Amino acid sequence: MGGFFSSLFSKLLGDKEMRILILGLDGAGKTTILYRLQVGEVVKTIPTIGFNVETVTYKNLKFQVWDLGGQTSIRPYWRCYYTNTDAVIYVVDSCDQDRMGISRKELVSMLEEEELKKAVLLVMANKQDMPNALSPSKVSEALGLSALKTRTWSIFKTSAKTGEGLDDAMEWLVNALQGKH
Amino acid sequence: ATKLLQSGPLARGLFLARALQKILAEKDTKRSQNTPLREACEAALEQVSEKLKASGQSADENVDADTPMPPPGDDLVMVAADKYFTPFRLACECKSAKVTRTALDCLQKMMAYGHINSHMMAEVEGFPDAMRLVDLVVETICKCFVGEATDESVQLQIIKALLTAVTSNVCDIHEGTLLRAVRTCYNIYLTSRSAVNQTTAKATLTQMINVIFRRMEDVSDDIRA
Repeated sequence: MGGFFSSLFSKLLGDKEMRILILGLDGAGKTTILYRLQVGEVVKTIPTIGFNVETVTYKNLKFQVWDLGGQTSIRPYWRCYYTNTDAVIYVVDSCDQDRMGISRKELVSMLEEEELKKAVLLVMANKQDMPNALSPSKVSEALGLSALKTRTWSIFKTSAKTGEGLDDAMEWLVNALQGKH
Repeated sequence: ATKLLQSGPLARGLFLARALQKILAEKDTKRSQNTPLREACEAALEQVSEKLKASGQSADENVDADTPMPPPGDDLVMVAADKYFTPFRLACECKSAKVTRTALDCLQKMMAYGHINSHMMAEVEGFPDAMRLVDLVVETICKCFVGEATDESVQLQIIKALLTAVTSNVCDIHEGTLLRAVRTCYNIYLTSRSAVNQTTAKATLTQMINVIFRRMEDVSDDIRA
């Protein structure tokens, strides 16, 4: 009964919890970003093998944020989680020039999935606190983002470590999601 | 305010303290039928606080801030987490979804970060020999699923914790415990009324079974070589 009323109210008030996936290669900073968004703290993390899922509240909007492991052997499971996803936060290690091509390939095959056709894409060019980080425009070029025609997307420079850029990125995401819903 | 958490036994103690405080702060924990849970939390919290005080830290510092993660564990400075398992077991058995959810989330993080691992033993009342703590932990997690009426957020935490228990390299679960973990996920997949939980349980099962078979093949390759 409680479930019925709360779902009725959320329909009336439109505070539907939105589903966000954080994806990207291993070591990009996905888990650090998740907890930075949730509690505003930098936490020591270990490579994610299962998944993390937390409720993040931003500007009175509630998100259920899923952080999936990015190691080669677990990437094939990403697609199992695509159903009903409102937005994807794609995290890229801006210093990892060697694997930028792999990151692009994973991004492209993800965006081809039917289930993600309507999902908003937020790319985070992460680790901008490092001296050898590529600029967002270089990351954007390496990922081939300009070729995205029908998708609502944007790229932001971030540092999960210092917190730089995360607010701007989330602000954009909230607006992009509200524009759609 | 941002702060970098320290690693090592201190931060581990803080993680435990925050988790226990969070359970204690729940309204349901204060009910009279949950007295054993409350007492177990308080006793464990006292022990953790003493350890922290001895090293010049206070468990009450930043009570509001959730410490979301324990620091990565290493075998040498392992806090005897099994001593602190009882409050989490009672919290899992508690009829409050909020309390159970918090306990499951903590148990998953402790397994993922190696604070509950295959080397730890637990004394169980009614059993003459100590059993492995991980077996007891997985059993406790599985018992939280009581059929389709199980709270949906509890179901999700069960799936998350079981995936970690099966795929982690430090838990090393076998036989009955492994089968139980797989079966519980399958039951959630079959009976859950939540589409998200069904999808997640399905993905989790796929990943679990693949990991199990890969390990089997690795072992048989070793034997053949």
